[in-house]
Amino acid sequence: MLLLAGALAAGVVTSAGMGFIRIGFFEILRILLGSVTGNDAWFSELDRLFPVVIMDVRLPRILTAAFVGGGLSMAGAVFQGILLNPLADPYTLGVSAGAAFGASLAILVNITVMGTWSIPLCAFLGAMATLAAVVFLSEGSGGLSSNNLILSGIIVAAILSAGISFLKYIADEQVAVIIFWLMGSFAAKTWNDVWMAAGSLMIGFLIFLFYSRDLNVVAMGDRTAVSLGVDTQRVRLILLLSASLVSAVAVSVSGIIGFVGLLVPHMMRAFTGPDNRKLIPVCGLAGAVLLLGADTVTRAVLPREIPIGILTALIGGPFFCYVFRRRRKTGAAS
Amino acid sequence: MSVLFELNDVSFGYKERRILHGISLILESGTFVGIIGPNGCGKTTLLDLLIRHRKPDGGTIRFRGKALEEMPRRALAREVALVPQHFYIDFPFTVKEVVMMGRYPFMGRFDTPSEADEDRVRDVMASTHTRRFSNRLVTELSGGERQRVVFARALAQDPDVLLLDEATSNMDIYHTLRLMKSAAQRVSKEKKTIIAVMQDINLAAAFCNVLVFMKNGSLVAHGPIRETLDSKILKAVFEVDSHVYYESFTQSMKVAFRQ
Repeated sequence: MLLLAGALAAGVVTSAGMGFIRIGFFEILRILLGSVTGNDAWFSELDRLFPVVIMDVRLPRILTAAFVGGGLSMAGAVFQGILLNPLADPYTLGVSAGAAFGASLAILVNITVMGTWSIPLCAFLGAMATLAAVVFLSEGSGGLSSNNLILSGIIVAAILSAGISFLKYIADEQVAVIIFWLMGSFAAKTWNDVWMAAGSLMIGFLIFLFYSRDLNVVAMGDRTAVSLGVDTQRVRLILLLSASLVSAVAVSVSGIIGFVGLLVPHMMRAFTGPDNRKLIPVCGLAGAVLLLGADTVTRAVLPREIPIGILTALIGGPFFCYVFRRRRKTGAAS
Repeated sequence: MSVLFELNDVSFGYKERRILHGISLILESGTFVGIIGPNGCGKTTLLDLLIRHRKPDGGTIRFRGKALEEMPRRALAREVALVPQHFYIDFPFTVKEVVMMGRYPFMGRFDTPSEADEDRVRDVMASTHTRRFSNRLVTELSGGERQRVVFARALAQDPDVLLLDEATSNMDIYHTLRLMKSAAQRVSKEKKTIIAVMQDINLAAAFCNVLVFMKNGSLVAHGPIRETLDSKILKAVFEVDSHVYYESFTQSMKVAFRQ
């Protein structure tokens, strides 16, 4: 865990130096220290441009990527726990489809009442409305059981994706904007995005940690959990809401970035075991490192920036195939 | 002996299907109760009501004189434990981690297990013969081994009342007898209570001292084994012909069934 935290800190600093304008490792440290302490003397002899590039352009993007990665991974671990299914991810219940629908609608009818916040806000509202629909649907069919939730999620997501296709079809010129938004990107992120992602992540993390032992017990099945004194319906609902909130904010800020929330909990479970008290914090750090790395690759290493959602799916997909194949061979479950 | 569970005109069901209707029953502490009846007659649902997994639609359940629904779940979990019929999980916890979960109702949310918790877990794992695979993953165990682990987890709760839902259905005869015997000893020596749903009537005859017969969601008979275990009741409940006799080899009642 210390190792991961160290890797994350090193990753932030290193990636801040990478890009069109190269900036040295120690120069960045000086800029960071100077900005945090409010003492300009730390970097006064450097190029005037460097602090601006670091503080206003790169750092917001880097931190957003890290927070979104951490948030999606932790939410993924929580979803896998409440749905009793190691193959679930933050998008299983249609949160992403809802956010995509909200964002597409905002782009199409050009909602700009909230300025630059319009699209994220609509995406967030879409995600929350979807969650409400999913919870309502599964409540009505006999309680928040894993099967009910997954089925409701699939149904709602299917309807929404048809809706998104329809919106794209009638969108004419804006279709490119919609598609680009859906593929996810951390380009042009501001400090506002950072605070939003960080805020939801922190709230989520505290709730996850508080209920992490109950989540272990919920994974044993409803009867067992009840007989161990855990109110399964309540724990499910609280974790469901908070994990969806974290994922919805992540999607609203950065678009749909797949595979992080599925892969990271899987990989980390191999190291920490399935105990959520260890798994969730480790997932947070590992997800942050991973998405930060992926974003740095597309921003600074590749000759031309490609949407981060494509990159994670391109790398994550085959990797997941490998994990899946290996699991089948050893005969061990996940 | 004192009254443990008191069910008064309890019913439960889904929209079209009634599962339990009008069950009034008093279960006393210090007894080994066997619940017997055909498949789908509501035995498991009855246990679900007793651990508050489900809530009755009508009637009341009292536990030691207090309304069950007003008891905090954690407090109930310190007194009542359950070995469910099916136990399947997708997450690779180790056997020891699963057994330790039985101590959760006694530990704070962020506590690490105390010396006493560790001792209790070690003892129950020894008595259920699960210690030798304490570091294996539950996902890799056979059905009978997994059932013993679940049994150990319930015993780790050190419950006054142990509910068993066909808890030995996948075990070999050696472990079945061992665990039933240790359960019966908890009743006779420590004055604990066992309420067990059972399929094997001869197993019930060997260990239980009170039987509850159910059919189609209602009680058929209820009482001490010498009053309730007879061929007339078995005929009414299962529609089979049987002969009940005393077997001196096992020193218990036995039931033979006609094919």
